[in-house]
Amino acid sequence: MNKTVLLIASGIAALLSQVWVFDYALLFGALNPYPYFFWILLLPPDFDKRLLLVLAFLLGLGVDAFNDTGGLHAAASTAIAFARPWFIRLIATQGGLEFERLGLYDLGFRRFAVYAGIATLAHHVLLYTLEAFSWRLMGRVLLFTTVGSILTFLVALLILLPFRKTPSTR
Amino acid sequence: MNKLLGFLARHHFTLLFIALELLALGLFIRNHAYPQSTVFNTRRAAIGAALETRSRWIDYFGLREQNERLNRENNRLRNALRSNYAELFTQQDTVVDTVLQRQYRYREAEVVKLTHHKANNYITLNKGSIHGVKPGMGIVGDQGIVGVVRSVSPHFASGHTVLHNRFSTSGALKSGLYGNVRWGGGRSRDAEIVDLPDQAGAAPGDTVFTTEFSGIFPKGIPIGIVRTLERTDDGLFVKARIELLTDFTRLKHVQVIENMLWTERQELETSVETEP
Repeated sequence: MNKTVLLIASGIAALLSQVWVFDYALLFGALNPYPYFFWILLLPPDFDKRLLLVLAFLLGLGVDAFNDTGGLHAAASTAIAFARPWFIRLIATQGGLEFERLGLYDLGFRRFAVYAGIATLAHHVLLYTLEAFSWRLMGRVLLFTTVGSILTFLVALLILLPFRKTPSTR
Repeated sequence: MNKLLGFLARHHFTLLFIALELLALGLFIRNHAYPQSTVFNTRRAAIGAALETRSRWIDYFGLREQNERLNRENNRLRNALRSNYAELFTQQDTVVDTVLQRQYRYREAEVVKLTHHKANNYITLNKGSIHGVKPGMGIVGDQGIVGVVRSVSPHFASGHTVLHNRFSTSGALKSGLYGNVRWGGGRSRDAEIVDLPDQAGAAPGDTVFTTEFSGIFPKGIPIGIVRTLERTDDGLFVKARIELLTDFTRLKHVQVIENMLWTERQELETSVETEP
């Protein structure tokens, strides 16, 4: 029961910090960090996959509601939840390891950087490609995806640094 | 049938993913096609109220600058008052004015939400249908044009800003020759004017003003300043980069413009177009 509360509370915190803080943090007057979907990445590896799809969809939809973007973030974050097992396998095969938790201090920086970095890149590619919705803006898409991914990753790292122990949400 | 059930059971995860993804894309595309118009429901009304609360806090930090800008505008308008001028001609009759009919009416509004860094940017104002705001009305700020209202709820109005893929309006130079103004997806101050006739004699530093073609804006509202020019291959037209005058990063107070003769003009124009 306690863990359900923690799960919901952390999800709401991820949503509100995104729409009330990071949506207004503009780098170069144009780029937002989008660290909200790290909430999906940080759930335990054996978390129910189907439930995670639905939760990721709802989280994205929440961000969309505040940004007037329809289902843009919902599409991107659902895709991340879908691909998450694959991202986990990618780092696990590097040492044939099984992980109980996926936090920064649980994985160590290098593994975490691979895991979260690839997820961030995937999320941003989807997000900016869909957002542009036309090939005319391809240059913008490439630029925003690269710089935006780096920005999001750095911001997420700064948030996660103080949390030495990942709270268990199982 | 068993095979179908077996297929569903084996691929439920992927199928759920596809269903959710289609739902999300459907919502996104519907929102893209009719931004904020079809789903201006209670969800949006609730979020509109939440945004307004947040906006009130953010406003506090920009008060000084906003006050200075309003004061400057006040000063300019006061200087234009008729009472500043000595009457040189004193005829005191009541005249039923048949020479002037009011065409444009301005309503003040505050920006509740605005983006300027996305591929398509929207604006939400704190005035809605109960204040008389209707879709299709123009939005201007103290520096220049801002956008167009697309849909309204009782207390809010929402629309495209100039920084939108589908926003375009005609812009004219002092000479009266005009081109088409649109934003190219770049920074929030960079726009361009295309199809400007070469003989317009545009030069860097010229101001581009609105025209009456669209019926949305009155004539002569500033849009931007010409920065660089580029002749098209056939040499007949000029394409110019313009710097938008409106600073979308600091926009707070705007006016919504109603064209009171719009219905009349539209009816006339459609009757001509549908004439056999």
